[in-house]
Amino acid sequence: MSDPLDGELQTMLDERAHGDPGTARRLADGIASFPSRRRWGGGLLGSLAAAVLIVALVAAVAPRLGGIGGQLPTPSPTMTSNASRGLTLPGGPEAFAGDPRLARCSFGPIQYAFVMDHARDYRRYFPMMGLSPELDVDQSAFVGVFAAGMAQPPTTGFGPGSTNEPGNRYVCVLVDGGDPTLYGDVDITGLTIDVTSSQASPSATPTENAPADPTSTQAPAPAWVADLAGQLQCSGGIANIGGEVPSADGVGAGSISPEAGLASFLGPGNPYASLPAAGYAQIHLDAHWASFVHRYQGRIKAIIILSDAPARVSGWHVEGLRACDASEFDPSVPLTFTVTVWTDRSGQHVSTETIRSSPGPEHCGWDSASWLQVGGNLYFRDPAGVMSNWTTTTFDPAAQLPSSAADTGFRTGSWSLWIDPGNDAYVVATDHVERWPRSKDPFIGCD
Amino acid sequence: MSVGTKIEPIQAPTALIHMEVVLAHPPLTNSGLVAAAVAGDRDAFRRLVEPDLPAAMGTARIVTRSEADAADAVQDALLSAWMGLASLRDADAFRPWFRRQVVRAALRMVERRGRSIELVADVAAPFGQLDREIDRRILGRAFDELAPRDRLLLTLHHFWGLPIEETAAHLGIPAGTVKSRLHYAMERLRAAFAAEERR
Repeated sequence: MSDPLDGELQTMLDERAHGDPGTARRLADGIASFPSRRRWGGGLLGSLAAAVLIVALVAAVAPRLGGIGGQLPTPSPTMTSNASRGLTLPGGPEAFAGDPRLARCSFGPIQYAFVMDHARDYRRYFPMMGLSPELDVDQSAFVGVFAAGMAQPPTTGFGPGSTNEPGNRYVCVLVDGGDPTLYGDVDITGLTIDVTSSQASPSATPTENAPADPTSTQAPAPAWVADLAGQLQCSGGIANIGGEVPSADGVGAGSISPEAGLASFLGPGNPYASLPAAGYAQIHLDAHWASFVHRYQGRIKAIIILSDAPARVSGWHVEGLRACDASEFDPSVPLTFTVTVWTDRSGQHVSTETIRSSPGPEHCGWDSASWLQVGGNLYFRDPAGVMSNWTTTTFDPAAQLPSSAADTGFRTGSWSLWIDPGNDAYVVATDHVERWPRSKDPFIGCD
Repeated sequence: MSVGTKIEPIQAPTALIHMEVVLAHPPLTNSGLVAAAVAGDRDAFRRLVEPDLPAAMGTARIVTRSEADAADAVQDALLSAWMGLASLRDADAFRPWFRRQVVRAALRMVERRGRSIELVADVAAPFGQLDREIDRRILGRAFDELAPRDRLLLTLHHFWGLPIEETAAHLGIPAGTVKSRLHYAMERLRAAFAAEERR
């Protein structure tokens, strides 16, 4: 190192890294009491777990399946063991007749339906359920447990063969009236509604407490930060990103002003794909809260709330965010993440939950390929062959359109999308046809 | 096995158990330990992560500036790694993958807390080393004024000793971006250090 600052920095970091040598050993000792890992992971099942949130996107716009089925006549053995322990089992769906939340979870016959006062308590209701950090929020949640043996819902996109282990169930969860998320292969052993609500944000480990924040302030939130979803004017469904105020954590490290906080949030490293990167107008501001909206054709398509009130994050940061689908934003404004919005035959934009294409993840080295997600399948425009491990055929820039291919009606620019069912996608341009190979696995990742 | 390929079929756990009986320190390969951990063997998982825990704690301490937060972050990382182990597609990639869990957990902790907490109590330095000690404290304050992600960048590269390419992989950004951000972070550090000295 030629720069003396490098050496000083390294020494300073070494000193700061020094701490209680027993901590690492205690953490290692704690591994022995880690929870059992159920089928949330493991080959194909890894993609099942990864699919959970994707399913929420699909479910939000998918045609609802048939009506609510009846209860199964016989409870499962796990229910019997609950009864013997004097725990309280949830009731059937009858208690929620007419409740729209029940209808939104109508992927199949529901056996049990109930409400969790706080979604974060989900493992008190489902002691054997895998970790689901997206449920670690204070809001209440409606829960529907589907009957044993229910077939895999066709709208999930879990892929063929992703069946539950015997006795495990599909479970639908709607947090605070949001979009339904369908969980697969949930072990419902010990299911009970006889729980005591936890305190918010429990610490992951019983380590010593951090010092209290002396700058802590809790300004009351104004009325206009409530019901962000209700303030949107979407033509279709609401995107399954962000959340209402208060958020569990807040997003971002905080900035000196609402405008700076918004710019920082929308800048590089933005955690939410498919938001307008610009074109926001401030519609409300008070001492500790600010509201920004993105309008298109006069209608509110995205709303972002920033605050400097909650003590857990210093400075102005995003506390709430709701948005319509990316297909409804002003097309002249770039998105925080490049997503191509397709149209139908009539030129109308189609929801990105129905069809979307985007560059492959850069950090995996897959950004030379385009990923096309449609109909529960994933296809690649892959001139460099970086996705070849995932396909059985290759990208062909001068392909012949097979007779078995059918026009989907989806268009982008001069391209029209044809799909050979069970095989590849074909993009028909004015002067050539490209074959986009289908991925063997619709849910892949390198991380 | 290149990044992105699927993990090989899991070895039968019984074979691993047999090796435990025969050898006090079974010479399991990394992939063997990963396979055993995927199959639910917590001890294998411990052996897999234990060598990295001191550095993980060190990194988390630097980033969070709190022993308690650092322990929470590493605990979160351990739990995430344990629960998500089966999604790892390349057993040989376990170490960088686990480090990424640590990095993310530490960043989450910082963003949740939103501020730095002074960790180190006053340290009396011998008279001859006082200037150097003061310089290091000034440098420390300048370091604290950097954005959390820049602190993390410097920590990964200078404390954890990761090369540019691996630092890039941890942060999910191109190597060229790491180089430029390292350069600018060092420039900001130098400027902040100079400003602190003038105070």
